[in-house]
Parts: sequence; structure tokens; C-alpha cells
Amino acid sequence: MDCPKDKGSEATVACLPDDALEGILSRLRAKPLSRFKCVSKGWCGLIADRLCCCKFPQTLAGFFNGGPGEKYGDFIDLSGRPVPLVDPTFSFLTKAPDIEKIVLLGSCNGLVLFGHRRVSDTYNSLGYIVCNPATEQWVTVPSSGWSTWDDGEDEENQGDVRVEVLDAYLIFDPSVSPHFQLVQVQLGALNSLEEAHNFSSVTGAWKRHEGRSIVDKVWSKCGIYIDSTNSSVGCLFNGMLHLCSYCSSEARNMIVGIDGEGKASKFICGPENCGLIVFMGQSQGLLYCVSVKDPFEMTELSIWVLEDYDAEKWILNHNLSSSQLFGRMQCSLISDVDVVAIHPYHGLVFFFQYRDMKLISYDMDRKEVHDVCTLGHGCCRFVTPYVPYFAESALLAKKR
Amino acid sequence: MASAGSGDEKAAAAAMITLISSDNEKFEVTEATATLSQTIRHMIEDGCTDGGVPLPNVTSKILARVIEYCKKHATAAAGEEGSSSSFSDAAFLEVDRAFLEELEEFDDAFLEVDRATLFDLILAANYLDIKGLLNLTCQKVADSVKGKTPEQIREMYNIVNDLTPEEEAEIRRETQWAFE
Repeated sequence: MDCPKDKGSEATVACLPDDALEGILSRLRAKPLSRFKCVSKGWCGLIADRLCCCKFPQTLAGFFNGGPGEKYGDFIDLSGRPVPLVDPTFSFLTKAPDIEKIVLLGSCNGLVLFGHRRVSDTYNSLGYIVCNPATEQWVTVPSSGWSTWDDGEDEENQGDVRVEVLDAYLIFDPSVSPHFQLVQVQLGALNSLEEAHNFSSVTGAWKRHEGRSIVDKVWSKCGIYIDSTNSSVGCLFNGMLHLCSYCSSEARNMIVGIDGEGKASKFICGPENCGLIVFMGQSQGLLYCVSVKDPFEMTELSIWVLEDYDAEKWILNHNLSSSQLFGRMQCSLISDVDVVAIHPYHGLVFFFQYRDMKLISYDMDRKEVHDVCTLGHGCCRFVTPYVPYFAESALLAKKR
Repeated sequence: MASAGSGDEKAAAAAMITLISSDNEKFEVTEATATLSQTIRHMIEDGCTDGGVPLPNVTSKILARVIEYCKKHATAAAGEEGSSSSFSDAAFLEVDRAFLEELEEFDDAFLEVDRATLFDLILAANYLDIKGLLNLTCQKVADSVKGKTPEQIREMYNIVNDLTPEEEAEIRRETQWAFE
């Protein structure tokens, strides 16, 4: 770099080559990094341009490692930074005096959702916590009042009907609204879709969808069921939570769009003869899904794109064999592999192999499989994609 | 590289490389020590190290420190090979915990230098492409600045604030959360 040499005995950091200054900056978290944008034009440029610390577009930074009952601490960084932008141990939460045990449930456009419970409890007895790991701000969300059991706490009670409450989904899109929502779905007999509870940060309260059923009459006759093997298949698209379900009368996958009121207001038939949808996600403004014929003995996997949302027109993008992707003729989506994410801007689908704890990506444009990283011993099987959001939110009032 | 036989290793250990600092001081080091630097490794591979390797960007004072670091870490290099991801370090840790602890103590002591020397070490590590040393020194600086305000950073490193008051106010507005 062409900077004055030996301007006195004290070297200045500004005279370090950009590579070296970047080396220092790449080891700082989002908070000091954002603060140091005001140091000088040079620092601001380096931080904004090279470290992608800009507000938009939000892109996939990496994956948190940790899930139910597990410790947090690792972050798989896709940018190649030696230190992740955010604290993957979430120490700003775990050290807070009013927080007991937290369980990572998911993330959406920069916010991360945790279940909050007493150490002795097996469900989220204390409700939820929504946080922004970049700004280290957070807010508690009370429990919706639903429990896994319909009637009281007595599990011995013969009259109880088992009602499964699925974990809450977080809905947040800062390009639309600074507010977030949580949606909890209640299933009835045979996992039929029954009710939804909706929490909005606008009102700060849970609301049950007013009709008894979230599914209107016409559709409720068809029987909409959530398959327990893919109960967590849901994503935010067009401002609605899209959940994957199975429609018995049509004998095919049905994607249900649940709006901000907790009402199922959109039904999209899945691709014909696609088997079971095991993943949904959005990339470049389009809804994608991954389907398999047999999740237990998977020999191939299909990637579909919903080319026309209103016309429900699916296009088969890729048909991939298990051996091509995972080096095995047959895999189980329960015990061997998992589809974890699709890149919001690039044609990349991420898979996690439990056998060797390896994260791999499939490049849909180049039709290539790449290793992303291998997690060490002691890491857990759950990886959660994370798209950072570097802006303050008045809704997440609590600070470290 | 990792699969090199013991015969090759002995030969490599015996081969000596001469490094020449900017003030013309000569340092003789083993090839194993020198090749911690990717820059020198490439020179050796290209066969252009006969007659010594001139390093016009590194003073003898800094080069001596860099060699001290490389000597200590050269023995650990074989184990580190092929484990570029930090997640696979767990197995490696099991191999020789005591040695790693010693290495850590060495690193801590190694970093007890003034700011000017630390920056010179970063520049040298960057130029010589010594990943471990660059990592160590950059992290040291990062740790020392992370709790500071922009004003303190400017003062510490003699940086002139060339942002207009309006520009600075705008950035501060956008990043208000980072100041709390």
C-alpha cells in the first residue's frame, strides 16, 4: 500500500494493507464492526463493502449448530470469516437473569426464535424468546396457553385426547414490516389441521383464529393432514406461512398458506406424483420444494420450483439420485440426511449428512455437489440457516 | 504432503534455507520451519531459493520473531495439515493436549509486544502468508479494539476522521444499536 512509512515510531493501523486491516475487522462481531463505520471513510468503505455489513440484500451468512436439548456454540460461516458476525453461543441470552432454558426453534430473515422453558420442563412452559443476534436485542413472548395435553396437567387422565401442538413458526420480513408474528398450529385426530394461534408484535398478544377451524368448510371436508414425518416443513412466502400438508380427498401434497390472522387462505396442490414434500424454501422470489418417493428408503430426490404461484404451475428442476448426492444408493431422511436450506439468492440447496456430520451443497446451475464443512465430534445434528439483519428494532426492547 | 514418508521428512528436516532480512541479516532455518510460510513454500517448489531468500519487506528484528514463531509451530504443522476447518480440530486436540497447551502459552508470551511490533508482525505474516501467525496477531488486535468507541480507535491509531459531520451523523443514526 502506498502509505507514508515511518511517520514516527508509532505505526498506525490505517497504514496496514487492506488485507491485514480486513483480517482484523473479520475477527470482530457485528456490533463493534457497525460502530467502527464512523471511524473514517476508509473503515466505513471496508466494513460496508467487503464485509457485507450492509442492510440489503439480506443473504445467507451461515448456520447455527444446536437444537432441542443441545448446547449452542458453533456457527458454520459461509463467508469464510474466521469469527462469525454474531455470537453463536447466544451468551447475551443465556446470561440474562430472567432467562431459564432456551431451545433454538428456527430463524427468519434475521430474527431467531427460541422456546423458553424451566430447566425441568419438556415443553416451552415460559413461552418464547425472539432475538436479533446481530444487535443482541430480544423480547419475550408469553406462552399461548396451549399445552400438549388438552385437559390439564394430569397425564394419567383417561379422558385426555392427545393434541399435538407444533412448535411455533416465526414470521418476519423487514422489507414489509418491522413487526414479527408467531404462528402455532394445532392438530386434531390423525394430525388433521385444526386451529392456529397467532401472536403479533403489533398487539403483543396471542389470538386464536376466530372460526373454530382455520381451514374453511370446503377444504375441511377434504381433510388436510400434517404428516408427522415432515411436520416442520414450513416457510415464509408472499407474507404467509406456507405449511406442507397432505390432502386425503385429492391424495396429494397440499401446501397451505396461513395468513397473519391465522386463517388458511391459500391452498396450492403440490407437484403431481411427487411423493412426499420434505422441504420448502424460497429463492430469488420463487417457492421451491424438495420431494422424495420414500423418506425411509430414499433412492432419489426431486427439486421443484413453483413457477407460477397463482396458476400453481410446478416445474421439475432436478432429479438427483442418493448416490450422486450422498454417495449411497439408499438414505433415510429420518436417520441419515436432512434438507436444511435453500440459498435465498443463489441456486444452492444445502443438505446435512448425519453419518459424517457433513454439510454439503448442491449447485442447481452447475449441477455439482460440494462439501461445505464437517462438524466435529460433540456437535449436534441440528443446523439452522441464518440470514443476518443489521438494524435496530424497537420491538426487541431488551438489551444485554 | 501429509502422507510424506519418514525418509522424506528426514530429508526435509536436513535441508536448510537461508532467509535474508531487509537490513541484510542472514537467518538459516530448516525447510520445515520455512515452509510454514506459503510464500516461501512456493519459492522452494519453484526451486528459486538457492543463494538465500531475500525478504525486502521484513526487518531482522521482526524476522527473528517470525522465525521464533515458525520454529515452535513447525512441529505442530504436520498435525494441522488438512484440517482447514476449525470444526475438525477436536480429534487433533486429543492427539497431544499437553503440547497444545504449551503452544498456547508460547503464543500468549509471543504476543507480549508493543503495538508497533504487533503491526509489523501482521504485515510480515501477511506478506509471508503464515496463516497461524496472521490469525494470532489479528485476533490480538481485534480483541483489543472490540470494546472501544470510534473516537478511541482514531486516537489509538492516529486515524484522521475524514467523514463530514453529516455523514457521521447518518452512519450513527443507522447503527445506533451498536453504541449501546
